[in-house]
Order: sequence, then C-alpha cells, then structure tokens
Amino acid sequence: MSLAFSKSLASHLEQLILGPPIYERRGKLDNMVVYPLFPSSLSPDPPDMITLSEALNRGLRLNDTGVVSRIHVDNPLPTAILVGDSELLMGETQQRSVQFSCLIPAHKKASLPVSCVEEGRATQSQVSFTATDACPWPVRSFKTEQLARSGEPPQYWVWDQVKTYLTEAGTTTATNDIHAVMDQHSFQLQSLNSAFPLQVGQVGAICGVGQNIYMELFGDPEIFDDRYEQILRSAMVEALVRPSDQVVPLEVVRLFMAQLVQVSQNSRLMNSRSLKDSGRSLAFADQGISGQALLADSRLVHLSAHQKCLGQSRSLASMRHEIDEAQANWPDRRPVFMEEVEKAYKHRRQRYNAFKTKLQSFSPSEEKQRENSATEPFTPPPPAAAKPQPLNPALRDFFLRLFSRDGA
Amino acid sequence: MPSFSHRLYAAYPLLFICFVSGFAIAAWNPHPRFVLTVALAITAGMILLGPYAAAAIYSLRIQRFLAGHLRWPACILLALSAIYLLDYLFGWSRPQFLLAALPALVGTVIGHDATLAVLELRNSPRLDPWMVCFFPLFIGLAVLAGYSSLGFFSGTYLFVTAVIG
Repeated sequence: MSLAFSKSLASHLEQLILGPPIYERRGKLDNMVVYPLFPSSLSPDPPDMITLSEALNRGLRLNDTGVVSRIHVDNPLPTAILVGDSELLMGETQQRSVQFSCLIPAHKKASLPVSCVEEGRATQSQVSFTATDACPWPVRSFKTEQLARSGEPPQYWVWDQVKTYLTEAGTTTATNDIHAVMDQHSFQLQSLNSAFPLQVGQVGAICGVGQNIYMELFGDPEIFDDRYEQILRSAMVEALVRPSDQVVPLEVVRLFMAQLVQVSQNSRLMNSRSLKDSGRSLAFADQGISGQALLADSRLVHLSAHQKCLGQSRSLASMRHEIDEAQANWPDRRPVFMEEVEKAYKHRRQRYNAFKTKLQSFSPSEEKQRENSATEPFTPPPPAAAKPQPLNPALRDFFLRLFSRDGA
Repeated sequence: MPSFSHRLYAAYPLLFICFVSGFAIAAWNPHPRFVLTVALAITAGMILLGPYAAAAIYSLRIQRFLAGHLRWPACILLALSAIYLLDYLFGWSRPQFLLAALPALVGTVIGHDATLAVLELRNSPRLDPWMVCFFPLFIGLAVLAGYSSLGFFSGTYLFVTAVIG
C-alpha cells in the first residue's frame, strides 16, 4: 500500500507546476512566501464533493458525543464532504481539531476522530459545532507525526502541545483554547489575506514560513479555492507568531517535493471504522518531514505536509529581486498548456457553483419544521451570500488602517 | 497605538489631491458654485451613495450577479443617476455637471470600500467612530481649503505689494 501510494504521489507531483512565489509587498510579513501549485491538465468535470464549512451552511450536523476524541457527524446532503486535517471545529462545547483528512459520504452518519484543543472546557454531549476555522500548523504537525509513528495521538500530549504553543505565541486564555491565537491576530490575518491572492486553476500552495515549509495540495482546484482562506490563515498565523525576515528559498522547496515522495514510502493507514469505505487516509513522518494524504479511488484528494528546514532559509530582502523577476517573467515563461488549464477551470467553476447551488440546505430548525410538515412543499432557503468584495482591496485596507484605533 | 492625527496624516495624499483640486478650481473659475459642487459631490458620494450602494448590493444578496462584478456597474449607475436627477432639478451647466459627476463617482467608490472596512470592524473595539464621521468631512473641507488658499495667497500678495509700495 505504501509503495503504491508513494508511486501515485510521485506521478501526481510530477505533473504539478510550481508558480512564481508571492510575498507581502508592504513589508508587514517578511517571513512568509507562498509558492502556488498548478495542475498540468484538468478534467472537464468538477468534483462531486464540498468542503466542511460549505456543508455546515447547508445542513450538515456535527454533534459532541461527550467523548473527547470523537464527534458525531450526520450528513443529510446528497454529496460527499471533505473534512481536512486543518479544520478546527467550534461551538458551545470544547474546541476540537480533526485528526486526519477524510471524506464523509452522502447521506451518512459517522464518527469523526478528533483531538481536543481546549483543555479547560468540559465536553457537552449533543451540543453542535457551528463553525470552523484553521488550526495552526505546529499543532497539526504534531498530530500528524504522532499518527504516523504510533497512531492516534494521546490527548494529554496534544494539550501539552497546545499549552506550549500558546506560551510561545504569548497568548493568554482562560481555557487553553488554540483558537485564542487566531483571535489575538485576527485583524492582521484579515488585512494580510489579500497579499497572497488565489490564482486561476491553482490546486495547491507551498507556504515558506521562517524555516518551515507547509504544503497543502488538493485534487481539484475548486476545493482548493474554497479552502484557500483557511489554508492561508493556518500558515499566516505561524508567521505572525514567530516574526523574522527569513524564508525558504525555491531550491529547498524543490528538494522538499522530491523528499516527500521518498518519505511517503513508509506511511501508516489511518483507521476509522465508520469512514473506511469512503477513502483511505495515510500519514507519514521521517527525515524531518511529516504529512498526510487522503486518497479516494486511487486518486489524491488532499495532501498536507510540513518540513522544518533548519539553517536552509534566507532573508526575504536578499530574495526580493529574484522573486520579482520570476513574477515578471511568469506570463512569458509559463507552460503553454496553462491557458488550457485556466479555460477548463473557468468552465468547471461555473458547473461547480451550479452544483453547490442545487444542494438543498436545511438548518436544524428548518429540518425539524420540514419533518413536522412533511406534506407541505418545502422551499429551500436562498444560498449563503458571497462575501462582500471591495472595489479596490488596497482602498479597503487603507480604510481598515484609518478607521482602526491601532492603525494596524 | 497611533493617534487620530497620526492616522489622518497617513491619508495626506488623498487630502492633498482634494486640496489641489480646490486650488485648481479657484484658479479656473472662482465662482463658489463650482467648488461647492465638487466638495458636496465627493462628500455626499462618500457618506450617502457609497454606503447606499454597498447596502443595496449586500442586503439584497445580488453581489454574485455579473460573475461577482456587479458592484462596479452599481456604483457607477447610482452616482450618475443621482447626478442626472440633480441636474434635472437645478439645471446645471455642462462644466458644473461634469464637476459633480466625477467627484460623486470617486466618492461613491471610496464610500463603498470605506463601508466594507467599517463593516469588518463594526464588532471590534478598535473601530474609531470619530474618524468614520469626520473623514468624509475632511475630504470636502480639503477641497474648500484649496479653493480658499488661492484667494488668501492672492490677497496676501496684493497686501504685501501695497505695503511695499
């Protein structure tokens, strides 16, 4: 299984194109660069799955079981749902972090493996999780390493890891919740988001943060698109917590992709009895690299990986010229088939949006009402509104600074 | 924590452009109706038209139309229709119409994005309501200041030449 997975991963990575890196040009985040990943070809069909946050808006129910390591998931939708290992689940009960990426099949009730990331709050059985956010990378890497080495991470080790991270981040919280770090940096996370714009057809991103490489790769650009904000937040919070002017250069990133295949040869299959039919989740950790992947029908759905590159980073200032040149040359030097990919993506995105609009969404109260009045025709509520977009992001950022007392 | 004036200082390029516009209008045609038109149009664009455009688009959930680009035509349409209406009521001359349309359009665009910024900060204790209230007024006042300063400099020049002889 490991060798087959490794070969499949190698062939998938070979077909990827590494785009020119992007950095924050106003000098507010000098320890982060994002290398976009593009596919060399795209099938005409969009995926038939949606992300967890999209599903929560459409009637997916996530309930606390009262057991720290499991939550109950009920998918009433006619489509599969991708739950990523970066998801942080929040509600009026203790926060949980998903242990590994998995797929929840359509119309399925299952038990989802999670770790508690809020030690000081009691679990409350049957209470719903209503929102998701990104889990910071150090906690994710720790979970992945544990999963690859010895299976499910012991809960008290996760709590220790969260406490250490909160101390390093200088975050004080009454219940030791990991999300407090995101809250502490929420304004910067929001205002710096636009520094790393999503590109058409992009399926993944490698974030070089200080001396770390964080990689997120999806099988479909639509899923990456929907998850991009969280992916950025997960890496960006680390850049804000540990400020420096060092980033990982391109040659180290290329080496990382080659090493990833080698390390994935010794991977461990994750067990989840209720989700075993919908895909296989694997975790691997060796040579300073840890990662996990989700495969469905021998196809890569999601891959996330981390490498600590001690002593291999350079200052962003010394790389600026190189990066600017790479960006300026990208329109001329990019592979010719990129145009086809972009065209295919635009067509797919339209179809995918139509697919999502058709998915019926029922909030729990509406579902109850629907059950009570089964004979009456049900009108689904309008789809969730898209986020307001500024006419000019720079202008919006200017006003955010002007109207904010801390001027950040 | 940056003070009110520190943050306002960061906006000096915009205020300077308004000041220069007022100065240029005074040099071109010193009749007060032109400069008042510009000052009122840009301020009204920021205070009324921009927020109204944002409210209309997002509360009606119509932002996904035109592949998510509806906000541009909406702002242009709102600003121009408002100016056409006022032109019909007041019977402006062509230059005055243009001097009203352009600042109103710019004000609407600025007002739309400023509204989104306020909406993002609305639940945060960091929001400075005084800046939100006063900034559009400062923009209009910068235009009037530019206009007045030409008269001031010209008067000072006449006074000084008269004194020197």
